Amino acid sequence: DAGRGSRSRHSIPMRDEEEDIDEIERQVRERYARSTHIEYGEEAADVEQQALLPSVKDPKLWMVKCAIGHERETAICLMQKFIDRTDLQIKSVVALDHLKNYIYVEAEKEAHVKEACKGLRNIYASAKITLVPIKEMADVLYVESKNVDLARDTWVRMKLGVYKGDLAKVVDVDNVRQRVTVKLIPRIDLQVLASKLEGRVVAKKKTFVPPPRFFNIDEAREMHIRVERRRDKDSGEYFEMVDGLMFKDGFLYKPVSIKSIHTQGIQPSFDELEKFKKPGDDMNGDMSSLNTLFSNRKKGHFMKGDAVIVVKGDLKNLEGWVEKVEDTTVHIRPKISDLPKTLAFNEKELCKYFKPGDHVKVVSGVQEGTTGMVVKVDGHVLIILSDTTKEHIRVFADHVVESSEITTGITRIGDYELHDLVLLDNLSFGVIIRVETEAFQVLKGVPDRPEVVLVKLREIKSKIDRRTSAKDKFNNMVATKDVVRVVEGACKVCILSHLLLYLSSTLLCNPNTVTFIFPLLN
Amino acid sequence: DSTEANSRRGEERRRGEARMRGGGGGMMDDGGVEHAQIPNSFGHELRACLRCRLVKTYDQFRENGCENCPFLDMDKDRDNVVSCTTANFTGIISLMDPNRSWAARWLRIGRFIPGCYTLAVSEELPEEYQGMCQDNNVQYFPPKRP
Repeated sequence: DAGRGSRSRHSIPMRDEEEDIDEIERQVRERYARSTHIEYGEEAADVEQQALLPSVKDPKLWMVKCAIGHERETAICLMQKFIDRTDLQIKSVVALDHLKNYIYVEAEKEAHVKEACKGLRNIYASAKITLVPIKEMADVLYVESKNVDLARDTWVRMKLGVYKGDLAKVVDVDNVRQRVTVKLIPRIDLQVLASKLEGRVVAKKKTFVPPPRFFNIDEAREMHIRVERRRDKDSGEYFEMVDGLMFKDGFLYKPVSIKSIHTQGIQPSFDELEKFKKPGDDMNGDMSSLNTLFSNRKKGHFMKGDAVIVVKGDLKNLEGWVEKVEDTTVHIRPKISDLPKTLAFNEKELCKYFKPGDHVKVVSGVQEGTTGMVVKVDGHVLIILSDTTKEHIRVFADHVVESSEITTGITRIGDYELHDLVLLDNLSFGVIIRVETEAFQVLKGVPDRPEVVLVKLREIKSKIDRRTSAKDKFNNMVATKDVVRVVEGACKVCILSHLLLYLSSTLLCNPNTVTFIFPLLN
Repeated sequence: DSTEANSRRGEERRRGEARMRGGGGGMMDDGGVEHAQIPNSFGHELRACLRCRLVKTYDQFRENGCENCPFLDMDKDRDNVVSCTTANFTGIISLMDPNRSWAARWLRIGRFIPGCYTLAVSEELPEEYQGMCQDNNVQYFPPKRP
């Protein structure tokens, strides 16, 4: 037994050997024939496609004008005509979804095209027939594969209607019917709605778009609008129904067709997101929506040396430093020494990482140009103490790079500088307390009622430059640039920057960067 | 205006139907060429076969199956129609002469019978049916993904 066993293990009997060899050969052939076929299928697909480009021997493509909106109908009619009278010599007809008013007809000669189009209702007898250059033929049949990443909690923007341009969040997707339900901040004119429900005819003010505001049931009820509480059969949640519209938590839930929303390249601004996040909202829920948001945003510039953190995938929360950036791939050197020297990630999986104490500069967004120190990291949002204004500003981590640069900030636009006293268009005046990228913040008003207004450059008429003097509480002469002490009010020592001899003898002070208006105590 | 269009379409439909009574997979006209059924309406009923991209209405697939893919048995079970066809497609090409047409070659539909096809579908044929394609020695090209 053992002998036989060992023999069969070490040697194969002669006769069987031959058969086995044949068997082995057959298996090998089969195995490798199959694998090359598979390889071919994947890689050579592009090369094969190249081989299918049109040549001079192929029929030509002609562009024909037809009735707008009836492109598909025309193509199908021509098919029917071909079946009815097989003397039609055209080879094919193409109707593209995105090209209105035209169809393409493939034929050897223009005469064939003319003959085919005769008698067709949708093609005018005098219709233009244009030859498509051979180099452009492949482009005609190019179909852009729409990467529709529609999932719950994706951010989209409305294309049409009252809510055009508004940010919305997807709450439900119905691929079968090509519809989604989105969550919007309502733009409802309660007055118009109330009148409509009462049957009163209202002259429709087409140009008026109501401002976005959260829906308040009590407000609606005050206007005698009937609000019903209904349970939605699909989601099982409760909604407030008014005039066929569904509301919940103040948001409007609106079913729309997929075609009516923009899904690509949506970049919500910080303000829009803040508005969407109602107070009392679950922070966790918000974080996940912010995450989807970030995976769709165009990522900022990663530079060598940036500290980053992985936010998606299995290596989530891994910290590292950027070594190399290649198109959309970023190579990082991970913080943990046990891992390989560099790891590659898609830029969508990374986010810049900052620690409190880092000094940074904002390179995009509303706060562009500001420099400051990170005081708090809140997920993807950094709270920075600005060098110039000493205010806390919130920015996305993507918009910021580490920098030791300290800007003094823009202090002047055009002729006007910080702390100038200016005359505004409507004959009011004020002091510029802050210079922003495109406008000024101007402090106007009277004592006890200061008012800060955002003013554009062109709204400023001129500078006011007066050398005047006034008296203070103790009847001393006070002039500009004097250091004074405020006896009543919140402030202590300030430098007088302007004196305004107005009725109430207003005194403007400027401690550091904050400006106040105080009454001159006479 | 629309009524005229409807009546014309009605005419064509009737004519088409008369021919369809020829029955079977490919339609044979007297002395004519074999072809697939032509869609007899334009609305949301239009569907494209996920394997060969032939375009017909749901009812036409249900009654006569797919002329290029008879093994998918669409005329036997309505589930097959629902799984193997989609309403999500882009563009239409009426193919009269698959042998000579360059567009058909480019779109890899040159081996199918004349009929109305679509340029691209958005979904892949489900796995079970892909298996059936292999069993029947039939090629299946999934839609290109970016």
